[in-house]
Amino acid sequence: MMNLLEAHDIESYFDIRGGLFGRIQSYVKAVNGVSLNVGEGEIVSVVGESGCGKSTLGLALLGLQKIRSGSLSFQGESINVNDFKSWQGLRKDLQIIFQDPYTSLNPRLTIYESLSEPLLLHGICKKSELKDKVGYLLEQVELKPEMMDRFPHSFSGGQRQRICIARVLGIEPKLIVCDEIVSALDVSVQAQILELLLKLKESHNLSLLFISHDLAVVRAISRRIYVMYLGRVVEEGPSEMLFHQPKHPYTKALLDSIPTLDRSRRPVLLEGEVPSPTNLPTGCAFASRCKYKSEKCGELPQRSGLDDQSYYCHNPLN
Amino acid sequence: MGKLLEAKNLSIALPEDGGQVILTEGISFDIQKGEVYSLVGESGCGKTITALSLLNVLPTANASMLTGEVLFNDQDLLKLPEKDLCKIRGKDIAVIFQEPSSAMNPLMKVRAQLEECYLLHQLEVNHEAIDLMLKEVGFADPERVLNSYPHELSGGMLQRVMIAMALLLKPKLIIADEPTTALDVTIQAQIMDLLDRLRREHDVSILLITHNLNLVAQYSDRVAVMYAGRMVEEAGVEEFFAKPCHPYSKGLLRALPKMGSAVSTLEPIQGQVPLPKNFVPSCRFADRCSQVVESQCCSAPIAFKEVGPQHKVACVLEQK
Repeated sequence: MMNLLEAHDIESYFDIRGGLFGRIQSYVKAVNGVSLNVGEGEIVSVVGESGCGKSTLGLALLGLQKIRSGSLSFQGESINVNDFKSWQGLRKDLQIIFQDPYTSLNPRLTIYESLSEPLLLHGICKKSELKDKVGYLLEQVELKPEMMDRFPHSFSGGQRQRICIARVLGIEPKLIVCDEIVSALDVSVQAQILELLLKLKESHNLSLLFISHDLAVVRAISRRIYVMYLGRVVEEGPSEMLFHQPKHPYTKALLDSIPTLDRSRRPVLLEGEVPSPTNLPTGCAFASRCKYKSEKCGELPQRSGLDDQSYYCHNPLN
Repeated sequence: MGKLLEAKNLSIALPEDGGQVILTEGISFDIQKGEVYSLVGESGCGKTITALSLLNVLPTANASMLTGEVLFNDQDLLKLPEKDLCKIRGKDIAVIFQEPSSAMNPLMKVRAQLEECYLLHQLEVNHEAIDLMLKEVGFADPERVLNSYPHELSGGMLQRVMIAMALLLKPKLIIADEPTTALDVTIQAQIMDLLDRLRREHDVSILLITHNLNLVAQYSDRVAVMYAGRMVEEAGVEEFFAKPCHPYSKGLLRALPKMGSAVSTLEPIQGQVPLPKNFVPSCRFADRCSQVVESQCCSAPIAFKEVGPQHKVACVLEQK
């Protein structure tokens, strides 16, 4: 399988300004050296708690967030990350669906207008064919074409998320970043959207980068997972192995804190303070909450493990 | 144990275009002392509005029509004058709202908002109790939190402040409306653990409103499933997860992504929840139900009947 998107050591910081002249005083290290790849036709997930930098990473990979350093390549060709023009050429191939279907559709545009805008912008089809194309797209996401003249407010959350999917689908992208696209939805609707996404992925040969904090959802949809903690990847690997034999204590803690239907297995609590992202420790960022920490944890752990499952920990679990 | 609160035949309607739209109807349940009772259902099924109606704090209190009875301490809360209700709200029955960021006053420091709990009930402010409660909900440094404005705290922290606020006056019943929906799993585990501990140590009853069935399985004693403004199933938690009866409950359980299973074994419930203006008198789940029997399901209202000990279902298939 060829790698569609390859990212190396991506860093993306937010400036904290203050003082009289608004000088930069420090940084929030949102993404702090992340490497990641997405294969063609693959669904890859990034999981982590809020504030771990997963959404910033998603935006950075699309050029929507400034990348401080690191390299990116798409379909084997490297992208000049700080050049707006080089991103422009990729907009058609790299797309994103946002978390909140309520705010990502313009309330004053009909569905037809919202869906036809990107089609015209990218020259996908002629004006005369627009109606048919929009109707076709709505059918693809299992909505009725006659809904195209309605406004977003008359749709439910699940339907709006379908519309957002249809909008992205129209310009036939190669990679779609899905940023928490089901976390605002009910379980039954969640399942509908995930099923639809898997179906479309097959029929349109899409690659997906799925960003979520919900491990059960991630497990249901992807084969490979990256776990992030405070700006860094702490573990990556096939979902099967990550869920059954996590190596990093943080992955294990995440898995243990999920409530399940099994009443004999109580969620386990994670103790300790989370370090501030403006003032990260020099060593392992998870050490302050880790049960297995040792003196070595004052140093940044190197990548270890086999090819498909790797982790960044001095005291990995067996 | 004993009954702490009993809701009888609660119905809520909103006036619209000269007529009225019925949001919920015939909701009856009771909450025992020290019990966690869960209300589950999809958004729009009426679970939040049912909970809010218990304290008569519906968003459009004047325009909405609320009928039924809410018995608490031998009095009907719905008939109580506003003045007396205010004495119960926040003191005997407290609410943890869904969105902490919009439930708190952005212009007041956390300290003032917590002190308000006492002041509103003409009690002397107990600073020690405030400190203690904040420690209880997991703040190592209460002073810093007290001196912050809501925007200076994260969602998880605000949610914990809300919980501290709700618990401050040691209520007998806590209505927790999706208390952890906006939070990460790790913080969710902390908060649920705290609520569970309070329940055990202080004998508090909790009405947990959620759409997360995993949480229900872990923390509650009894569960009621709502669909389109009606209760469709009520049972003890163990019974419910072992033997769900209503096709909608079964569907919800199947739609849940499971940790143990690999790529996609999800089974969504097809179709959509009807809008209140399209509610029919017969079974409202019929058009999405795979086992529908047209002649019985689509003609008359379905009774909410007992099918086992403490197990009620509104489905013709189970009531033979």
